[in-house]
Amino acid sequence: MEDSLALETDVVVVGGGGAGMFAAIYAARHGAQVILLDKNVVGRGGATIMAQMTCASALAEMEPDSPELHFKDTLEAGRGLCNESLAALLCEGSPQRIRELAGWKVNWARQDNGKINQVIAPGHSRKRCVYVDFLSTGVAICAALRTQTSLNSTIRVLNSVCLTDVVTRDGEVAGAIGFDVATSEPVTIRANAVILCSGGMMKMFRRTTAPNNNSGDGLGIALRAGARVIDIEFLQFYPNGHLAPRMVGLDPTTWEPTRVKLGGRLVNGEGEEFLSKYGDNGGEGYNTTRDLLTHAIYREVAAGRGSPHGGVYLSFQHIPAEALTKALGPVINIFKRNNIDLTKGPVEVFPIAHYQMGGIDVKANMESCVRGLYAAGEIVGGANGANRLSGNALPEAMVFGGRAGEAAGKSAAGKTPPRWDSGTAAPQLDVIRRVKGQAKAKGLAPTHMLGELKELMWTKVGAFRTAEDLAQALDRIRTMRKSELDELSVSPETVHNASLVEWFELRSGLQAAEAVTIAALNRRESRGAHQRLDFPQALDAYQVHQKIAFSNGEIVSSFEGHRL
Amino acid sequence: MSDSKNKTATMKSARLRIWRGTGPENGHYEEFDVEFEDGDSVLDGLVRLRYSVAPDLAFQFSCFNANVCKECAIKIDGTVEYACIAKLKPGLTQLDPVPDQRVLRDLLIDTRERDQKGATLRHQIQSIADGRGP
Repeated sequence: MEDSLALETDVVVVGGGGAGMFAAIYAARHGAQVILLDKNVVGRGGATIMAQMTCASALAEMEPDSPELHFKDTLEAGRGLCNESLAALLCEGSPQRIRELAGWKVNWARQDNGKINQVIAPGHSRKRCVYVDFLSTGVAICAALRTQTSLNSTIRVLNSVCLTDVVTRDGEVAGAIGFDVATSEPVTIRANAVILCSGGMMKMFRRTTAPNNNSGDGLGIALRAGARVIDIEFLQFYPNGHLAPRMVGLDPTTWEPTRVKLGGRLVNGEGEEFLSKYGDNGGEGYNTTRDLLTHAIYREVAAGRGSPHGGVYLSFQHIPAEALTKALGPVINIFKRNNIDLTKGPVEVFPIAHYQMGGIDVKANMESCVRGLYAAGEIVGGANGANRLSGNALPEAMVFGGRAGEAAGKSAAGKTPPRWDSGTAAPQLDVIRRVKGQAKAKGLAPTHMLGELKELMWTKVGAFRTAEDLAQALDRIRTMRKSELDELSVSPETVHNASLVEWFELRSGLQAAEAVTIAALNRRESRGAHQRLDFPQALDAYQVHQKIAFSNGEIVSSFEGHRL
Repeated sequence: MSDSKNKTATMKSARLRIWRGTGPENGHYEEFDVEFEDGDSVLDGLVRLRYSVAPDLAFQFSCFNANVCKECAIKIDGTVEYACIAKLKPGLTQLDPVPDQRVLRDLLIDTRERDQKGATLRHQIQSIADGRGP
């Protein structure tokens, strides 16, 4: 039996969430043979399926609206750092994707007149957000896309394949390397294009809304292949993250859609509504952008006015029970199973790591500076600048996924896959073979390091940052990346060895974490989701993009026009 | 800003009796004690074990307690449930893989599409090469 499995295709799509499935469908539509792979399960892993409600799209089904107005709101929320051409593509492309999904039987909530229902979400100037009841938007989108990808005979779906590296030759993509999680066997795929749709790195925070797969794999893979990462210091902390009482069976982001539908009062530990102190118009209306809301909640808790578990209260007690049932349907029963009765008492909320604004630097066709290496979805940097508008993540996944699929498909279809000799991917294959046997007598398991990294990122690289904390984190992350990673003990199992997957998650995740920390240390100002306690103001001099590259084993950063 | 404040005062202990092995005839039960607070899920307990004493324990999940990926079904005290919504309880709880499915290892069953079931990637690739379809 050969030592590795050898595959060949036109386009490899990495990650089976919304961006990846759209990329595969569009690449196939433009004539390409596609392999769509996921280290977990295509159509079930990833962040899209977790989206509960808001998906922004200027359909104008409720009131006059246009992609231009959506674009204006997106730039406003992005605090001066949106890549305007990517943001424009997102806003212009969203309506077509919503209609396309309706054709694929996504059951968008509708008005009595049959038109799609649209609600206002924080930061939007129009009723623009579409959804599927009850809190099932992502589940419905993924079900439709699973059907479309499985019906398409030119898309080969491979579950449980963990990609570890993109292979380049003469500065162009020649394929990809990974392993079959089911057997730990190395896999080589010769291909003319690779589309990274593997999501962000938000798993690397202790308190997170991210699925278990979003460990920064694609960022590490792209950096090692020579691509650049842009504005990665901007990570979104979701303001109304569920804190207490303990609630399972429902995403901790539940309270924002609930507030969008019903209002809801934020109250500090002393019983005061506090948002008006931070520039919000207060009351039941809910139109504060995520960065400002996170800031307000942190400030209240830091001033000693927090709730018992260290957050603030969110109360729906002023809303009649019938209105709650109408808006939330069966979700009320999930609350009940968790001993939560919104008519009787408030819940506690606190910001939680949620979404990566920065990411791979791409052109308008979603190609990075490495020929044949594309990206789509959360892993792409730029469209959302320093702060993402609520509801923009789903259109980003769908629009960018489709665009990347189209561009990669057109460019790769029919080309002969690159010829490899045994030396082409030898260094990347050697890493897999070495790590498979990395059972150290006194070594710690990868989960041990994952636990430490998640705690470190949460406490020192979180929503409020200082030079001291960031420098300590950077020192520790570098030690882990450069020496301790190779001392970890990987379990000798070959069948579904999670510790092998976790080792590779750490290999890329530590590079991603180091990139975030360096970028956050360098940006000596506060803007959008990047808040420095030691530099509390936004400064005009910093209204520039910061780019990260991986060179000679080091993460290096530069602001546009200046080398640091 | 901590969700772990006062946690130690309210922690309880569960004993999880977990099937370890690659099939019904090839394995054994192993017992673990895991601390929890009221409301924690069985999945919380399994993840806690992976991050502490059992890093090689095999089970599947993606969305983590949101109950949307539907990957974490296991048999809990004889009933098939999603580990992310079943609550931990004090004392003994027995965990087995979902019955009548091919067990890959421990609590992990083969969730590939029906026509790919039982096939390793190597077999799938061979069948594609032989023209037997994906």
